[in-house]
Amino acid sequence: MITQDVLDKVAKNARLTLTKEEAAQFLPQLDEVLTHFSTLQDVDTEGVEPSFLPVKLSTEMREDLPEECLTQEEALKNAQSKNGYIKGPKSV
Amino acid sequence: MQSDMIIGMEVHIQLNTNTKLFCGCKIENAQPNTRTCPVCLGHPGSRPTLNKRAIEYATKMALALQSTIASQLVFSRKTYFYPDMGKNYQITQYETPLAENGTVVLSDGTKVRIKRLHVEEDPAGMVHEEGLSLVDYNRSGIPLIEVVTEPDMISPEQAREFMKKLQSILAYLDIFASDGIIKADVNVSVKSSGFERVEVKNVTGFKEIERCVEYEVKRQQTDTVVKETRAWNAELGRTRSLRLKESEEDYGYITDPDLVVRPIEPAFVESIQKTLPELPEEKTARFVKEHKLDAIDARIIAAEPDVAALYEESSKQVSPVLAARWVRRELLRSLNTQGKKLKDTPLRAHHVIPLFKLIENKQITDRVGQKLIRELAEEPFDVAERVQKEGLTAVSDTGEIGTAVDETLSENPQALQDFKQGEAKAFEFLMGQIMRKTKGKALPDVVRKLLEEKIK
Amino acid sequence: MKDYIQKMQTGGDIVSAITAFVEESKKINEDNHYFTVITEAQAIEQAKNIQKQALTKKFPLAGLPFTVKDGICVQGVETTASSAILKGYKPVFNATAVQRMIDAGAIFIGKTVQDEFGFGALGITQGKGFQAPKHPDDPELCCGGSSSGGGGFTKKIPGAHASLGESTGGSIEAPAAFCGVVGLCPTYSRVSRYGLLDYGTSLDKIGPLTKTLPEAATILQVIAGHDKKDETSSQEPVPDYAASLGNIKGLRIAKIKEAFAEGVDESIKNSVHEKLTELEKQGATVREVSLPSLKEGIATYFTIALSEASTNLAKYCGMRYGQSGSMNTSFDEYFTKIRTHHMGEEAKRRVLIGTFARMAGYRDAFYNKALKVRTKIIQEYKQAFKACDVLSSPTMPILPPKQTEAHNLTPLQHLMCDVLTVGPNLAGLPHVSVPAGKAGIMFIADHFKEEELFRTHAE
Repeated sequence: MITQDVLDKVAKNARLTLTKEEAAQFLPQLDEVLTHFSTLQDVDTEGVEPSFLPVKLSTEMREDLPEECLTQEEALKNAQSKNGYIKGPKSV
Repeated sequence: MQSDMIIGMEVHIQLNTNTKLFCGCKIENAQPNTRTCPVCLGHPGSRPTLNKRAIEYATKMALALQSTIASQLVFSRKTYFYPDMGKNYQITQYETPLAENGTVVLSDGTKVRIKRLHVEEDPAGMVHEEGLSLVDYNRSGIPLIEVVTEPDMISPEQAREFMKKLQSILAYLDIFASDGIIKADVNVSVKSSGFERVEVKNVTGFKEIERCVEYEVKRQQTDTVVKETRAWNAELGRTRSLRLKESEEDYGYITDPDLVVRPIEPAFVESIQKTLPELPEEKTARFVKEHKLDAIDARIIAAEPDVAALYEESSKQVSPVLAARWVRRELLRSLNTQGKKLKDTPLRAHHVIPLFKLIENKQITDRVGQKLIRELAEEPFDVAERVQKEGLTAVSDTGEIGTAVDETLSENPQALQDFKQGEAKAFEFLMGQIMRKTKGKALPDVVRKLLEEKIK
Repeated sequence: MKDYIQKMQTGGDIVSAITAFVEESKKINEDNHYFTVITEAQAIEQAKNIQKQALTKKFPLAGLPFTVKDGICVQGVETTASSAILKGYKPVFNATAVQRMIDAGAIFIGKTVQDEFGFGALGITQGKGFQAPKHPDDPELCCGGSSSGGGGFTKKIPGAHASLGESTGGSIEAPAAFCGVVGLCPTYSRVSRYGLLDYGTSLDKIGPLTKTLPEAATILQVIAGHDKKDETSSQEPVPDYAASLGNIKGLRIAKIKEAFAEGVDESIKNSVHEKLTELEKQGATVREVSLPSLKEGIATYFTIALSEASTNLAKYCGMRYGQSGSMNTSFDEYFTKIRTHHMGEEAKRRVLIGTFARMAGYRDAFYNKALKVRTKIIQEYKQAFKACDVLSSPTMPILPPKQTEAHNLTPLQHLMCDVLTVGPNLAGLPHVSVPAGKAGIMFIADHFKEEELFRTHAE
């Protein structure tokens, strides 16, 4: 169901590095799980609509009215920050 | 016939709502991270709530582009990791965009097909510092629409006109703030490279988009072209390869379960349709047909809603052709020289209508009219008052003009002699001298007649 | 709980009661590891405040001590979903459910430990640096997951108390069944998810863990109802739940045939049957119904839940809140380093599975397919409710295993523990696990019909 190459790509997409041991451990485990999941492909879903949510909801959209914002102090409270900005790693 | 190049665009346009797309944070310039909340900061446990006005505006634009509106409003998560992404996924529309299959018709009849129009949130703003990104979430979550064209444009001029048309429609719909963000991904492919697809990412502003297309076409026509993604450097005025070392990110789209999938009812679409103003295309056609305007005058006047409104009001009081000529050739030129847009000045129809009337009734000369319109463009004033105060009324009295003719002839004997020896230019010289003497107020027809009588 | 609240509404000493409760909680926590944090000073402060206000105002939950699953935001209190990657994160807001408890006069005591981000049926897969809670009756056994601390503590603490848990695929019911308490999972959208750290967004529900069914009704009454901060919270009116308590006469129960099949512990089946017989004696009718689509439950549920989870967990990357490190590297390197270092093994495994299931080339066969199978499962339930008021089955297929043994399960075996609970969770149906002998019996009702669950209450 899943090969080492695909696992590498998945891990990269998920921003996770797997050690050799982890990869060796995960590959058969994930394969077993995904093989089970793949049984869904045998279910006849011809003409069946997907259910993104389990119940029907018809919430009105929000009116375009300003609400109170956090203070800068609150916005930065949990972050590394500098001069009012939130710090992040290099983007270029 | 095969063209030399094909150009397509993905244009991102900021909608001028009061609040962000998924939260009630006000959109305005402010100190960094002072217009944020848990939602636009991507704090765990926060939830998006959809801004109704953003959807109304986007629907307006979709209808103005004659697109087909979807039957459901669906948002997806586009997952990728970047420091400006609050949640590391962007809420956007994927399988079901708000609208598809629209058109923009250019002046030469070219149809630019609009493939899709969708709504999405803008990421945060970033300042790059040595070894760091400094992120400001004030911008995070601002509503954008993305208009995606087919590669139907075949010259930089067409691309420019397309952008002008978009700008014009946005102005009519009043859904884009002048300080808002407009950015494009531009696709250019030229024949000499076998139409290899090159995409230039993230070109910001109408002007830059135009410059970028021109540069990229030239580059491709003279350089070796490979299929790639490039970036626009506005300072240098050139594009550079992004050399993506990895293949395109796999966004792993899923439908965003935080947002309800809503039906888009025909009644809603109709109610939006009703709010659409007459758009530049229809306006141009009407001006040509009903006002008998020149097609170019009509198009230029119709391009800006404020200009069109000023013209239309004027055309009810003076001849439309005269109003159009003065609006386009004199008013717009004056504004242009002064680097202004009509909508940014206090100048309104009630300022120019008295002027147009004076011109139409030959109560002032064209030359005085031109002077006054330049001054109006600088700062509006009461035209009738100014004409009276400065004594600018046209002079048609033959006695007064006759005196000026006589004086001029006696002051310029050489010119008179030249004329008599057959130099036609000398007549125009004398005309000019008389006009100057009367400070441009003498009606040129009367001057010409009197001068002819005297010297022929 | 009822007597306690009544006492506190009528001049009872809330401060003393809370002081004693906190002391008892701390003592229990020493050996059992139910809490990630106990907010003693804050609790006593709040008790004083309510005590004062109670003189003029009748609080529906006056002075009731309550605990909250770690993955539900409490303003200013470290909220990590028991994951190391969120170490230090203190939300700037209260979850709506928490706010409603506070507004009702309840006193917040602390956050209870869970499986990391809700990833676990047994209560043994907390994040790095967190300890597994011990079963209230036998320290070697599992509490059930993922609202494990809430389940264990609810059983262990004497006296009035309620815990807010959260279920994605069984995380309220499993600890309830294992620990011998009541776990109520409301209809999807019945309780606002605002302030809940997401696992599977289209599946997550906040609900109470309590000692009795009437207590669960009391708590649901307070936390249910529309919230404009969560557009997936329902606008259906909230009925008076207490009114239907014990209204057993004429209750049509249908037991799910597939839930009594092979693989389910015999003693559990017996306990459940005994309970059903008892209800029959009190006026309910019991028949059997077959729900064949349930065999697709595990695959459907986990495909959707993990696809959603893998996007929900993308935000945890060492910026804005929680863990961080030296940022002087490229963003990809930095995010990868932080995530790799601070996410636990089960979390990584589940994120990988979810990322796979929504990847281009696999999305149609997995994520998109599962959404359609889900529709079929919902339809099957809806059909069943035409002929019954509640469905019934055992909650868990097994009795609480020893923690040492549980660690030997393969990942698929671990997922399979949710086999009986994923159905109603996938379909967003309200359901409750109540003690039956040493096991838990589960009742499931139609959407927004929580009152049918309360009818099963036998005095």
